[in-house]
Amino acid sequence: MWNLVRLSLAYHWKTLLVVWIIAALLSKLGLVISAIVGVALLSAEDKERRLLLHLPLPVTRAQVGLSRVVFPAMVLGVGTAASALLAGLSSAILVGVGAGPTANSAWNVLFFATMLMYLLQLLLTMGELQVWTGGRFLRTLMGGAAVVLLLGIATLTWIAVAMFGSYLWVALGTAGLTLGLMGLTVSLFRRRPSFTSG
Amino acid sequence: MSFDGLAISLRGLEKRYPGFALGPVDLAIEPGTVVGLVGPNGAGKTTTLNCIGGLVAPDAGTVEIYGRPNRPDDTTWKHDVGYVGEEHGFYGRWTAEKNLRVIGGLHRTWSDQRVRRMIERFELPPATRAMDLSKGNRTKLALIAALGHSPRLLLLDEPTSGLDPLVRNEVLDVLWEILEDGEAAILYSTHVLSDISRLADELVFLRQGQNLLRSEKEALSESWRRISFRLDADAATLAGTVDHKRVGIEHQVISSDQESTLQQLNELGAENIEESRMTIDEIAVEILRGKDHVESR
Repeated sequence: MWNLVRLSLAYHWKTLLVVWIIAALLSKLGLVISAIVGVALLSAEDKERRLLLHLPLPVTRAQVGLSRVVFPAMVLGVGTAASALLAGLSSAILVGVGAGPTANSAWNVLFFATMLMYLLQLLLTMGELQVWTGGRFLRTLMGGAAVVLLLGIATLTWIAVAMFGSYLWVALGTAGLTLGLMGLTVSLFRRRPSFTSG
Repeated sequence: MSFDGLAISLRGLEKRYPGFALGPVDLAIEPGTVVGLVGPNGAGKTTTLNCIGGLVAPDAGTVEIYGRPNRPDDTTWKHDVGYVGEEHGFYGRWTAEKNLRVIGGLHRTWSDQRVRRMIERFELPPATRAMDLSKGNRTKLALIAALGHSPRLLLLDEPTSGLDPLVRNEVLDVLWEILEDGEAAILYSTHVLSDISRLADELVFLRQGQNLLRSEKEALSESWRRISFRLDADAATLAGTVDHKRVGIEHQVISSDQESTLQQLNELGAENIEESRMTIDEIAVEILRGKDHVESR
């Protein structure tokens, strides 16, 4: 799986470098851009029919599926690290000169990125559902219902944890849901009836 | 039939799409055999190959490669397989050489030396970006990528489709040279019958998702004949005939069993019997047309 992710990172490194610099400089807006670019690059890979190259290689279907959810996550993840690092440095400098921390503290950035990662993975799950159902209404409906259910659980979790806990618990809960979505996406990918269309 | 030690064994393979159903297809291919999968567009050739190559999940049936099921989460069977489809998914902005390098990095039996030899033999420009390669060169790149790890089974899905005749011949020449040295079994799908005539030992005919016939190429050449004769009688039901044309007492038939047809013609007292061999292309056309086109004038 890492081999495939590494290949995608190497193939798009110029774009990624620019995106990560933007993420560091623009903080939350930069993270949104990172998430969008992550999905756009995955879409670009699909346009080049990369699955037709990867699937016949000696890698499992699950590894290919996992690389597809990990790659955009890494794009956002590295952007987050760059952004959090710069935010942390800025805060430290400001505290050092006695001006107090900025609103975009490192923790604030990480919390925002966690939420964004959830939305990113939700988008990938929906994309996989779209492919998996092959446009068949009933399955699409069921898939849609599953997404609504997941969104409902996520929202309720957020509300419940926010009422009784801290931002940390909200972030951890969201991270858990994100992992669940990644698992669902990979599972749907493994069960695709065909990898030759689109 | 024993399925042990076979390069490919398909048992009851089925796949359904809206408006199309493949199978059930049973097929066993011995190691070292070149089998041509012949059929018109929509016959199920690509679907069959994609099911074997793991790009399409069958609705029913099993696929085994050298005795191992082609399970999606097992990679052992993939080491034995080289696959060339109509589309290849190369990293477009990377050179041909870099594409081969990254593919080779994932194969444990990859041979750089073998790949270099094939690049030279195919005259592939290694420093050209994959996206800038001509269709012919992209096909060559795909063949090298599929052969670099010396697979024991090569799946070729219309590899020369869309190539001009010169490039197609060039690709086939080199492919033939490479394959001559090896022990690989090959399943080659095409509707360009002349390709198959050159490469295949056996032919499998598919039409509308059904396996019509499997035969050795030589056996087809030996048994099929175009026979003309004079006979003042109806000859539409002659043994072995798949096509019959009649003008007065002049008849022309196509027979899939020349011995039976000639024997019956002699018994009927037919005169001026002349037989001529048919090319594999002509035979394939007759097989794919089916036995429902006997006509009389």
